[in-house]
Amino acid sequence: MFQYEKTLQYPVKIARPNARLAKMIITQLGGPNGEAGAAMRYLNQRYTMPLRELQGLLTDIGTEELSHMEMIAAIVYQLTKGLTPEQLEAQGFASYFVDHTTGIYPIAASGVPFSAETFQSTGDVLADLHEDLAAEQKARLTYDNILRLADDPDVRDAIRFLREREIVHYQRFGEGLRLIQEKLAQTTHPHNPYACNPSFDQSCLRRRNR
Amino acid sequence: MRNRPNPPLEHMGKAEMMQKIRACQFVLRDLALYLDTHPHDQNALRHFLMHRDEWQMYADAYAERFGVLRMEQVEESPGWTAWSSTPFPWEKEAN
Repeated sequence: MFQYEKTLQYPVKIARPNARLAKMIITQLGGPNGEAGAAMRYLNQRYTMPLRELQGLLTDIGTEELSHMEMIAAIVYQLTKGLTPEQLEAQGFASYFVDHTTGIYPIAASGVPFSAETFQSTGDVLADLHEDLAAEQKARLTYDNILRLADDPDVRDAIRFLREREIVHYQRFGEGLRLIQEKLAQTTHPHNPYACNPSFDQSCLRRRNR
Repeated sequence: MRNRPNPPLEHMGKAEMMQKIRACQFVLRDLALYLDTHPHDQNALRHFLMHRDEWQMYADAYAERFGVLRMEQVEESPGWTAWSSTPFPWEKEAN
């Protein structure tokens, strides 16, 4: 069960609307490296994780990604609020405006709508955790690129916070990977981590006799 | 147990109190991820519990004066509007 807390994880207070910036930043809501994909990836992968620690980690990081979705949406919302149709058009926002007005719709910067094809849930713990490590790096580099292009200090402040969280998540996923690798090394096949899939094969994590 | 706000808390402004709540919540979330992969780190757990209590104190004090952050904090008076009439956090004025 999820509960709502009526506050952003980190404040978003943008003084100057800027639709050009909004069109770029919305990619972290609905784009291939974005927060919606992150939340869906972790919250769907967690069910077949073979360790309680990993189920907990994916639940807690997945939940934080929902808070990040909300922050990105808040940034886009504030960046497009109060502009006239003429201003929106002049700032390159007409193609979004014609379908969505200033409603929040998850798309990539290129305009491609959010798709589950941007992430995987493989039912294989090693493949999933490696995907998660890569996903955090992809989100980090997207924030780096946003920071190369965005000069608004209010926007940069919130983006920097989100970028830093990707690095923390990457660290924690690395520790998660180490936890399952240590468990696999204690099984009947200590030198072959691919002997079985602990997310699927029931007896995979059975410890070897000493 | 519900912590009663102590006198200095009552003189704190809305923004200042919200800043404290967010700071506590951030520490809690960050420590939670760390504890997920280090569940036996008692030092991290102590920090978690300390900030949990601090969060509770500020969240209760904030709820009494400025509106509730979780619907479970609603009381008979002033009623549901303590949850429903405050701005949602994506509005500039909520931040």
